[in-house]
Order: sequence, then C-alpha cells, then structure tokens
Amino acid sequence: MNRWIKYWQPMLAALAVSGCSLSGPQSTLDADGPVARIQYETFLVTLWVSVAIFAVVGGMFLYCLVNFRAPGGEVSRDYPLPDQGHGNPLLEIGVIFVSILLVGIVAVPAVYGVLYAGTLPEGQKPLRINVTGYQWWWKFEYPELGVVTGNEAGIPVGRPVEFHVQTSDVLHSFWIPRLGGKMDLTPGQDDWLWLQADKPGVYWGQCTEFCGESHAFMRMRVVALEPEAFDKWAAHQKEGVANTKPPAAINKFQCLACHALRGLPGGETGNRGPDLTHVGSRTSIAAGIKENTPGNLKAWIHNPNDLKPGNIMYKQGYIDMWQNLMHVQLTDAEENELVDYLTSLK
Amino acid sequence: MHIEPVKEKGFYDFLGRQVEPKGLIGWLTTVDHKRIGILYAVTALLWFLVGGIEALAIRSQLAMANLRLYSAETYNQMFTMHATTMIFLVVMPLAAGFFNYMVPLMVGARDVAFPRLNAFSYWMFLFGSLLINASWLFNAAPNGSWVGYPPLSLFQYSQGHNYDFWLIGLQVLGIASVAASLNFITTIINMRAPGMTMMRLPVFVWMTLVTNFLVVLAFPVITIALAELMFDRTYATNFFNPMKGGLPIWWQHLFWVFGHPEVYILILPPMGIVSEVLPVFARKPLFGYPLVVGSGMGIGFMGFTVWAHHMFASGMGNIANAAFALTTMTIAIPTGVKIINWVGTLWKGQIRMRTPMLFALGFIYQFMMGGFSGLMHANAAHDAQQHDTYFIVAHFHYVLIGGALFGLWSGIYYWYPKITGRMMNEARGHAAFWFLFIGFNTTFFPMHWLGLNGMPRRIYSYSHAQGWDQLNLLCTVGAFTMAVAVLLLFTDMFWLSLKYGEKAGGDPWDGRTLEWSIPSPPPVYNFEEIPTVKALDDFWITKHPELLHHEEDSAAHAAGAGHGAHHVHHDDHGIHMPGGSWFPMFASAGFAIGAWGLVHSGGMYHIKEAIQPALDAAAKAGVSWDQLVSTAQTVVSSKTPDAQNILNVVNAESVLKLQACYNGVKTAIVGGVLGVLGIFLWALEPIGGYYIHKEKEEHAGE
Repeated sequence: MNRWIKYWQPMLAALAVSGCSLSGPQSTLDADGPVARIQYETFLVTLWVSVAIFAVVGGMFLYCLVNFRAPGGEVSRDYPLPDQGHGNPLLEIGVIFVSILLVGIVAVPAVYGVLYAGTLPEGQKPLRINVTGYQWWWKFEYPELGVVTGNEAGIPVGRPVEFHVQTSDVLHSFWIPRLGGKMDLTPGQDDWLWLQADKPGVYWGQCTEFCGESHAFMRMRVVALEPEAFDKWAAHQKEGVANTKPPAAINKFQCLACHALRGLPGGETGNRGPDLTHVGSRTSIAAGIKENTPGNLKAWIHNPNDLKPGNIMYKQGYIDMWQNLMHVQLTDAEENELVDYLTSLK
Repeated sequence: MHIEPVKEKGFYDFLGRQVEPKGLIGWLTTVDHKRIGILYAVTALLWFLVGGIEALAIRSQLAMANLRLYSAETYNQMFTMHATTMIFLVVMPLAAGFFNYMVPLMVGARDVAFPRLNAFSYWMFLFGSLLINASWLFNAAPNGSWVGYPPLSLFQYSQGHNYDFWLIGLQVLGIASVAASLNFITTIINMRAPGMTMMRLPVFVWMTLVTNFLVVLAFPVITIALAELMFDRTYATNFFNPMKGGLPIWWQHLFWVFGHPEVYILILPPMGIVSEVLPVFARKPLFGYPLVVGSGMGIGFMGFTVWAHHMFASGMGNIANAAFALTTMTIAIPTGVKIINWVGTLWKGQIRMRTPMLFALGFIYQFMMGGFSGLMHANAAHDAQQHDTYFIVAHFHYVLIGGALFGLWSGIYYWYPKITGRMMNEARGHAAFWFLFIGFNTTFFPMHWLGLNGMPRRIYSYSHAQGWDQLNLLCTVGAFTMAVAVLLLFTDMFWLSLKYGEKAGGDPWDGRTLEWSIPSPPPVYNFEEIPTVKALDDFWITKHPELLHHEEDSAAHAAGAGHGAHHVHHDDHGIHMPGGSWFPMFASAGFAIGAWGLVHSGGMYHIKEAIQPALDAAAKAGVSWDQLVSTAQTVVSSKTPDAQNILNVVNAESVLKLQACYNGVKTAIVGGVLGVLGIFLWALEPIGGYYIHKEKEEHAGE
C-alpha cells in the first residue's frame, strides 16, 4: 500500500491545476501517521472504483452523445422514429448486481478503516492528552505528566496519542489532517480519537465545526518530537516561572484573571485564556494564526479584535485595576514590556 | 364563449369570489394552479438573485488569503443566508412552481384538489421568505449556519434575534410546504383523468408524489426540533442545554432525520424533469420506466435511513459509523440505476441538442460526479477527513447546482413555451448553458482539492501559509462566470424571449405528455374536455397510433375505451371554475404577523431570569411594570442609575428588551387570532365561482 501512495501522489498532484500544491500544511493527501494513512488508502479504493464506473458509464454516455444525434441535428416530425424500446430487464438486473458488487468492494475497506481508527492499538501504552475547546482556542492537558499548554501540543514520535476531547462552551471539532480524521467536541460526551506521528515536525490543525464569529481563527499546532526530546520538553513545560520578573502591566491589567503563569503569585488559576507559562517556546500565537514573533505578539496585544473578532480579551477589554477604568488602551511602553516578558518565557 | 357567474349573497358577495379576476386583484385572490405556479417560480427566481449575490459576496471574500472585505460576523450571516435562501426559498419553491403548473396538466385535471389551500401555501411561503430576509434590515440575519447546532444557537451563546428569525421563518415555510404537499398528494392520487393509471403517470408526476410524501414525513421532525429550540430560547426550557441535562447531539439527530430527506426533496423533482426531457429530445420512450419510478421511491425510502452520515465525526461509535456507512452506500444502487436508464434512453435515439436537452445532459454528467463524491463520503473512515471541509462543499454543490438547478433550468427552457406561449431563444440558451457549465465546473471542481488539502467550511478567512490561494481565486473566477449565465437567463426569460420570442404553438417540442395536447398558454380551464388516457406517454401515442399495440395489450385498450363512456362531455352546465378568494392571503398574513411577534419574543424568559432581583425589588417598592419601563427609559437615555436604586443601566436595558418581548407576545396572539379567523371565514365561504360555456361553432372551429 505504501508503494501505491508514493506512486499515485504525483499523479494526483499533476491532476490539479498546475502551480497549485496539494501538499499544504493541512493536506489529507500527505499522511504522516498510521490513522491518516489507512483513511487515505480506503479513500483511494473508493476513488478508483468511482473512476472505473465513470470510465464505463461516462464512456457510454459520451458514445451516445457522439453517435446518436438526430440526422442534421433536428428532424421533422414525420421522420422515421428510432426503435421505441422501453428497456431491457436483463440489463437492469445486471446493473443492479454489478452495483451491489461494487458497493461491496467499497464497503469492506471503509468498515475496516472505521474499526482501525476507532480502536486503540495494542502494544505501546498511548500517551493521554485532554483537549478542551474554547471560543476560540485550545487547551491541552497531559494528566499523566502534569503538563498544561495552550494551542500547541507536543507529542512523541512513534507512540500513539489518545486525545480525549471536550468543550467548555459550544461545539468544536479537533482536526490534525496530516495525522488523521477529526472528532467533534460535544458537551456531555467523553469522545476520543487516537493519532500517531511517523516523523518529527509541526502539524497544523484547525477547528472544523462552526463555533461562532471567529471560527476561522481557531487553529492549533501539534509538534511531534523524538521521544527523548519530548521527555525534555514535557519536563521543561512542567516548570513554573517563579524566577522571572513580570512587568507591572501583568498586575495592572489583571492578566492573571484569565491566563495562567504558573509559579507567579496568583498565576495558577487563570483558565479562561491559554496558559502562558511557556508561551515564548511556542511557534505561533493567537491559536495558531500568526507566527510567534515580537511584532505579531505586539499587534495581537494592541488590538486583539483585528486578528480574532469577538474574542473575550477584546470584548471584556483591558481593565485598569489601579484606576478602576474599563476598556483602556495599553501604552506603547506597556505593550513593549509585555512583549519582551512573554517572549522571554521559553 | 360566455361566462355565467354563480349568484351569491351578502358578505361573501361583497368580498367577491372574483369571477374571472383580472389585474392585481386577480393575482392576489387567484386560486388558479397556473397563476400560483407562476407566482411560486417568479418569487423563487427573485430569491435566486438574492442568494446568488450572497454567493458572490462569499466568493469575493475568499478570493485571496487574509482578505477583509467585510466583517467575520457579516460573512457568517452571508453563508447562513445563502444556504437557507437557496434551499428553502429557491430550489424547493421553484420545484413547487413546476408541481403547481404542470402536475394538473400532466394528469389531465382542471386544477389541484384544494385550490384555496394551494393559494394559502404560496402566501405562507412568500411571507415566510420575507420574514427570514427582513432580518437583514435589523442587522440580525441568521448567523450560525443552516444547521443551527446548539449550544451555539442557544440564547446563552447567541443573544440577538438572528436565530429567532431563522427558527420562526423556517417554521412558517414548513407550514407552506406541508400544506402544499397534502394538496399534491391528493391531486395526484384522486384527480387523474380516466385511464391515467399510476403506471401511466409521467415520471415527473411520480417524482412529485414521492417528494411530497417525503415532505409530509420529514417536516414534522424539523417542526418539533425548531419548536424545542424556540422554547429553549424564548421560555428558557432545556431541551438542548447541556448545563441542565439537555442534549445538543439530539438536535443533530432530529435535524438530519429531516435534513437528509430534504436533500432528496430537492433532487427528486429535477430527476423527474430530466426523465421527461430526455425521451422528448431523443424521440424514444424512457428506458426502464418502472425501474426509474421504483428507484425514485427507493431513494425516497432510503433517504430516511442514512441521516447519521452527516454525523460521522460526532462520536457515535464504530458500530453506528459502520452501519450508516453501509446504508448510505446502498443509496448508490438506485441512483446508479437511474443514471444507467437515462443513458439507455439516449442509446440509439435521435438526439436533438435543444437547450432543455443540454441542461438535462449537463445534469447527468454533474449528478454523476456528485454521486461519486457522495460515495466517497459514505466511506466513513475517510469521511473523518472530509467532514466539514470544502470537499463536502464541492459535493453538495455538484448535486444541488449541477444536479437540481441544471434540472430545474432544463424544466424552465422546456416548459417556458407552454407557460408563456413563446419560445426561448436557442442561441442565447446555448450561451447561457455553456457559461453556466464552464463556470460551475470551474467554481466547484477545485473545491474537491481544497477540501482534501485541509480547507474547512464556514471559514471567513485563511492565511497564505495554508496554501489555498490559487484554487480559491479560480473558484471565485468561476462564480462570476456563472453570474454571467444567470444574467443571460434572466434577461432572456423576463424580457427578450417574453417580448420577442417566436410563437410556440401547443406542441413545440414534439412532446409526449398531456400538457402538450392543449394550446400554449393553456386556457384557464386547461382541458376543454377531460382526456381519456390509453397509454403511457398518451399524447405521443395519439400522434403515433401505430405504436399502441406495442404499448398496451388490447384488454388495457378496451379498459381505456370503457372509461371514455364516463367522461364529461359538453352540456348545458359548461365548465365550472372556482372564483378567487381573499382568505388564503388573509389567513397567511395573520399567521405571518403572529410569526413576526414570536421572533421578537425571543429570549424572553432568559432576560426575565437575569433581572429577577431587580423585578423583585421593584415589586417590593410597589413600582408597577409600566412605571418600571418608563424609569428604564430614563435610565438608559441618561446612562445613570435611578434614584430609588432599583435599576442600574444594564438592568434598565434588559427591562426595555423584556418589554419588547412582551409586545412580541401580544403581536403573536393578535396575528394568530387573525390567521384562525381567516381560515374560519374561508371555511364558510360558499362554492361560488363561474361557468364557462363554449359555443358550438367555436368548438367546431378548433
């Protein structure tokens, strides 16, 4: 099967309009894990059965259009009629039987694929990650490791990961296309899916169940690391940031009411926004929509509504706790201090 | 020809069941199925323009990465209203226009079974469509996608009237659809001309029958779901509220138990049209008529067994996913049978490439493509990847534009001469077809690739790094190409061909079914003499009597002749025609007012709950509701809490909202009473109408 994919991949790409790459960061055609691969292979079976039917039926259709034109395009009403056949029972029965056979060919791999993706693999113990969706960001918790992170999850290469998904508000859907199919986040349901990455890399994902105004900007990244690197990463993520010196703005604007900066006084509880303890170590900000650069971070803090309309940080506004003012604008100096500090939280 | 009105007395005579109504009043009070059909179709086509403009707005926003042509909120309204409009205000009513106009003509009847109910359906549809679109004027257009999944659609997450407009609007449209369906089922079963047995019904009529059974069976489900969601929003019940043990997933099941039959409600009538058009333009009978009819019924029946394939990612578990994958795949069998039979109809025919035929052939190709992507979704394993991506968007536009709309456009070109008495221009028709065909495939074929490349549905914007720019731009170019086709069609339909088209005559296409046996446009009474049907494709057989022996055995022939003895000849009574009636419009206007009130009562109990402490304080201080409202107005305008310290600014705003809800309830009651009164007066309305006498010599002259 593997060989097939390598062979057909360029074919599929060539079919696309030239110049357009079909192996974007969220391509389902580039399977980088066993779940995505099995799903893609079952898709290929359906695709080729469809192509075969299309060749036969479409060919007949085209044959009719070319060969059975009325002479001269239009005929008078008294022109001799063609054979007024009403059908052919034998042919009809044949068509039905062939259809049933073809459906069978498609059905078997489909059911196999459902069972494969819906059953935890035996052998290696999967790593468990609890995913919680918020309007419009993701929380990742590693109950066995005591790690919490937002919008970017580290996973070990070559080990199955069991994602348990839940929502804090409306429906969302958790999807990392290169690793496998999606799962909705439905209130009151403990749903899970397992994924596994074959090789290290950054895998992009996106919410795929409409969840309100900024649904388009609810993205995420999964970073696959070699097992040793993953252990190091997890140990580091667990550490707090007690030895850092937060700028005054963190307290002045009550950042910790929503965000966690573990290790700081009052920094353990904030959970309405992403955990910022190691925000500087992430590749992206604002739920996967911008690269993590000081410039982007400043723009995000300056006016969050620009990047993600309707988000809480904007709607609630920055509250100046010292002067009891609502919806204040941060000064340029305050913004720079915050950016410097957050960027330093590797 | 002369007209003899039926004498009436008093009140009803004053209102006048119009005798041969003319002008605007004629249209407002009409109960003629042909006029109602035209009203349906023209209204649907106007909404088609609105939905099309919404589509162009969507495609413009997505043309390039990171575009910000308008806000995300507006975009969410655009795609929600685009879907709602195209499904409920375009494809369904356009098909209903054909049901209305064509079914009585094709079964050999003078009208539908319940002419006034028919008018009522139209007016309910019109008012419902206006209600749901009025939301634009209040900046409260529905914004949560056409599936309206809770919790997002609950008041807790969506406090404007957006969802109230959507819920109540769909409820009104549902009443229109169910009333119309009961009417057509009765018409098709009871009003067939003598000799028109079920297995001699034109396929379009068969598909109408199946479609309307689907409406009658599927709409009650969505009616309940919409009512429950409305109760959740207005009366703070908890059907779908997870915080109080409600089940959001239950909405998904209810919605799709309706929603999947709904897509067959959209596609079966165009399949019927194509099954009429192909034989006419191939000069051959439909290949495998019983199987085409049977597979139509099979598709309709199976439509109720596959709903959860819309929910493969909702965590139903392996068994349910596998089971619904299998039921879905079985639908491919009757669908494949239909396509093979259409191709079989062309086989060894004499194909005439007139515009209706082009659209029918386009239908076959595109529906086939849509069927293949459908089979790919049925593969539940890979559907986990496809679900809610542009691959799905590509699929359903292939079946709904490439299929349903191409079929309906084929119907427009096919029956336009019958309806208007004029031919549509062939050159312009061919141009419209090619613009539409190329534009359509340019727009929607690349969406397959976009979906496989990871682009989710319902996103307002995307970033350059996601790699979807070029294909999106291509889609947008295609969409504007389609717009050219639509402009061509509309100018041709409503102006050029209507004014300058050549006269059509009764049977311009060398047709096969009964509607072509009468003049174009048909007289108000349709058939001067109710025909006696001897065979399938009766009119064709009349023109080619030598074929009858092939068609029917002599026993059937004798039976047909036997029926002939019973049919009504001209006599002193003439042809009785029903008069117009004001009550269908009156009753539906009442219900529409009521619906308007219900929309504005949305959120009532949630708002009341939120300010209950303030209300209690007011009661304790002896402040009446009216005083509280006027205090609230002062507080809101001055932005300072009131002296008695009962209302702060936020609570005062809520008091005013609550007052608006109460007014909504009052309006709803008034509207409901008016609606029921309308139906009551309608029920008491005497038969009335008029008789048409055709003079002997006039008859002889034809």
